[in-house]
Amino acid sequence: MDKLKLKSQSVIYVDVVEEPITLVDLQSFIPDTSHGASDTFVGYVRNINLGKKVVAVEYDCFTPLTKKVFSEIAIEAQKKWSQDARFFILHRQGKLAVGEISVLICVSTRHRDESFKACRYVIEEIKKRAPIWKKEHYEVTAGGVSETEWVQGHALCQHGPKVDHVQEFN
Amino acid sequence: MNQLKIKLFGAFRQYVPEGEIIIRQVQIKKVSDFKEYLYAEIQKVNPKFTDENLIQQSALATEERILHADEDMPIFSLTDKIALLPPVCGG
Repeated sequence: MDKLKLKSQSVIYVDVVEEPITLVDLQSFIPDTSHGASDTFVGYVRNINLGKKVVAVEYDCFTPLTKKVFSEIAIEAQKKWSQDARFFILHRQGKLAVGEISVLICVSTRHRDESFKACRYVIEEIKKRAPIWKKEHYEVTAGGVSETEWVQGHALCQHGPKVDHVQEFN
Repeated sequence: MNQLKIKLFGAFRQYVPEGEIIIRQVQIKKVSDFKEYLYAEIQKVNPKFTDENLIQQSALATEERILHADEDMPIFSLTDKIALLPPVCGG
């Protein structure tokens, strides 16, 4: 099945891509005809981090597990807010310039309340659970030094009882 | 000799830019103990790696799931994709 058809027919479409993401990518996302609402989140590379000027960001990704985690998050959101919600989740990997899109999420549901909540849940959980890492590339200093930094993040290592992510989100 | 490929991501790449090490498969019971073994193996590749905190905060994973620190170490083959995942920050 070609990718465009796959995107338009999928209830949950997830992917990690190396090519630039644009809002045109959303044109293949088609809400169910019973849906009256959709919510979209767009993450951009911004030009500042911790007070330092950023010139680029690099995303590293364990792709197969990332796609699985994206799907798991979408299914959790369906169970919580809307069993027939549709999801489109796209994340970029590789080096991105300031202003480029790092992540694109769209959720459609019957009513707007569920789409706001489900979309918010997806991005918040991606940040905590998806095996993706970000390296900031800072502006070259006056001394000619270029600095990069892997961003501190959320530990995935699990100890003790299994976490109910939806329950924690509430 | 049975070998395993371990993929490394994020902050580990500053020590192992190739993002992968090949190690000898050893009989280690728990995932948490295996991570300690990986610490020593990464140090063999790059003696500048001394960040024990990074290892402790990292998770071992397959393509399908993250392994719980307290679970018994599964038996892997060289074709299995095993990864050491430092704390994440996507999105």
